[in-house]
Amino acid sequence: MAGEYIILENSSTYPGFHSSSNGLANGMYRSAQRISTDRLVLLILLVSTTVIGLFAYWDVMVLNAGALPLSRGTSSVDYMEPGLRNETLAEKMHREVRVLCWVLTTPKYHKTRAIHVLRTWGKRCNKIYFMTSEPDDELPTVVLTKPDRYEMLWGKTKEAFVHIHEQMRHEADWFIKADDDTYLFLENLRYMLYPYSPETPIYFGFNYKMVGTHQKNESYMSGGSGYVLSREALRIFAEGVNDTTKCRQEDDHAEDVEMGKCLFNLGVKAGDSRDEQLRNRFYPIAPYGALLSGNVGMDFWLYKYAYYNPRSCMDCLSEYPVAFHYVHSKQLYVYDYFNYQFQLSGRAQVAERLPKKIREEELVIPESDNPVS
Amino acid sequence: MTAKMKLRSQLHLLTGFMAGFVLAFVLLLYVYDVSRVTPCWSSTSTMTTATTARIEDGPPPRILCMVLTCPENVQSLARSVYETWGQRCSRLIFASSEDYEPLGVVGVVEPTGGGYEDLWNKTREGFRHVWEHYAGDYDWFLKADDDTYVVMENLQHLLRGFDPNTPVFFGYKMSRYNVSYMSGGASYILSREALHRFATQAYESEVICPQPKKMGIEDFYMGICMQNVGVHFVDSTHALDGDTKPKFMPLDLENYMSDANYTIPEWLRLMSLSRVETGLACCSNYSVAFHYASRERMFLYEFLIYHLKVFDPNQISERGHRSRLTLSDLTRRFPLEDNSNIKDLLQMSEKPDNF
Repeated sequence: MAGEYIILENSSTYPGFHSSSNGLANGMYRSAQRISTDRLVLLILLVSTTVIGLFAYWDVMVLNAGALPLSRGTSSVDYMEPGLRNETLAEKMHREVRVLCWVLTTPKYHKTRAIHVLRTWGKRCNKIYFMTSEPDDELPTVVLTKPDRYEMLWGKTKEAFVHIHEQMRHEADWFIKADDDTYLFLENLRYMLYPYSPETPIYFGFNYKMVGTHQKNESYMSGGSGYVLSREALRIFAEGVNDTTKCRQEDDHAEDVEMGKCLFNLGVKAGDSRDEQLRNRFYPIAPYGALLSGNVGMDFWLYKYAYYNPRSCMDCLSEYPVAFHYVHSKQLYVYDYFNYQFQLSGRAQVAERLPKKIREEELVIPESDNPVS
Repeated sequence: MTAKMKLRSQLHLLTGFMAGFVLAFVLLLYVYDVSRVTPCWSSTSTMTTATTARIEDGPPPRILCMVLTCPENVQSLARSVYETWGQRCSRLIFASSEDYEPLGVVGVVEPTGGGYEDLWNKTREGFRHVWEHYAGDYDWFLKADDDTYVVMENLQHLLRGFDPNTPVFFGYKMSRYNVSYMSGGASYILSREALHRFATQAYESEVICPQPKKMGIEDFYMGICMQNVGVHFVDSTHALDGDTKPKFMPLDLENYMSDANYTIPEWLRLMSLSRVETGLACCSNYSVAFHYASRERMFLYEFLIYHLKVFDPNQISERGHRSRLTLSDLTRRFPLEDNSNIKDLLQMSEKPDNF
């Protein structure tokens, strides 16, 4: 009201000038207000967009930078799941290739052998059980009903595998039998088994020629360095072991030979565990100088009985071995020390890749190539 | 007026909305990234460290290996050394009582000697021979037995932190009669300067260094010689920062690996300067030497260390750059030994206790 009054007075006093001046003032005021408001809005929008863009860019950069060291050279998408970037290759294998280890032992050796297996390579199994005749507080034992005699080894082995199939077949994909003087490299075992499906009826170990009357492509696996059955092979064995026409029903005779015959008759394939350069991964003896220094003559017993042609030299052992036998309890710790603790200065960090999966129809098992007899 | 008021109200609403959106976005980004940024940067930092570690800081130390042997062991133990770790020495020499050219065996004592009772004489003459022929060509001089296994890469890693022109005596430090020495079976290393002092000052002096005699205890006598010519004793147990475990093993590694205490002999516990541990905690991750290695054991170590691989082990990245100790640093960290406990050498018992 006051404003209006003032304007009226000015208009009545100087009609022409006042009218012109008033119009200009009003126009300028309105224009200034509109421009200022628009600029503020535009400025805010621009700043906000820029900030959002910068944050998005920073986020992408962080993700990209973070991915590289975690992938550790395996850039293929097939080997990585979202949300599991921090998982190392060994941890992935431990989760994807589950291995149940069962160790054949006896109460006499619980404190001198079995406990040391548990403290060394045994803790790297997904599950481990010690098949024995008496329970032990320090060991995860399964008490078998068969008496504790070497002649009953085949009986104990049958009982152990049937028990595992009935009670533990959901705990693992692969089931390996070992002695209490075996050393197993579980990481290398998983690496070897990765290409195969546990639904394939197959088992692996150190292949020996079958004894007695047998077909040409028949072999059995050394009991000492251990043999590993797929879940399907375990099912077939547990369900077919009581067939008198296929498997020996008595409990005597050599466990590994009878196991080989039984599995062969049940249709389980005896796999070839050698690596791409045909070097053995399972070894029924320890890698002592007699083997590695190349001084062994052709009368060495291993050359005669091996299914695949063995050669005696340092480079003919696989660089990713799985099993050695006749490794006494103190030596177990030496193996542990050198492979899991010892650091060789200047050792190059090799980027490791997983092998390709093998479909069952692609599986090819070579025939024996050992000419010695 | 109405139009202006409406515009102001919209402006405030719009500003508040944008601010809220930006703050929420920042908050979400921060919360989402905070758990992943740390390991990523840690990994990056680790990679950086690993990259730095691989940069060569000068040429690797040149190490001459002098291995004591005898004619009966040339074709077994000495040949095993030659076929395994000896190949990684800058130069390998066998000191014996008879020459044998194919393996580089040099006779440094008379043919009637060379047995265990002549060990001290063989060591003296061996170092003298090495000094006369090779002193100017190598930085470090390792003395080992023919039943010792040495990891040369880890030894180079250790020696990189020391200057071969300073007087350094390196090994598993022990004490007998309050006199310090380095275990002979676990091997010991002389720097170029230490070898020079031995050959020019100690070798011919009867008051500094025990003279050749039967049943002289080689490593104990060498300790006396080194002390008396002002050489610094570097206990390998403390030679790597942050690593306080032994790197030279006077026993077979198996004896350490057992958790039972009876496998460690009393003399080692008595004469070691620090507590002898057993089990996997016994030894450094950068172990260098193992004693009582038979021929089979040497090939086993060769296989386990250089050939066998475990698929995708969790490798610890190697420590970074190791700066070299100056003479003053050496004196401060490894002071000279107190040699007041050394009695008259001429009166010293020929066969000390616990021999």
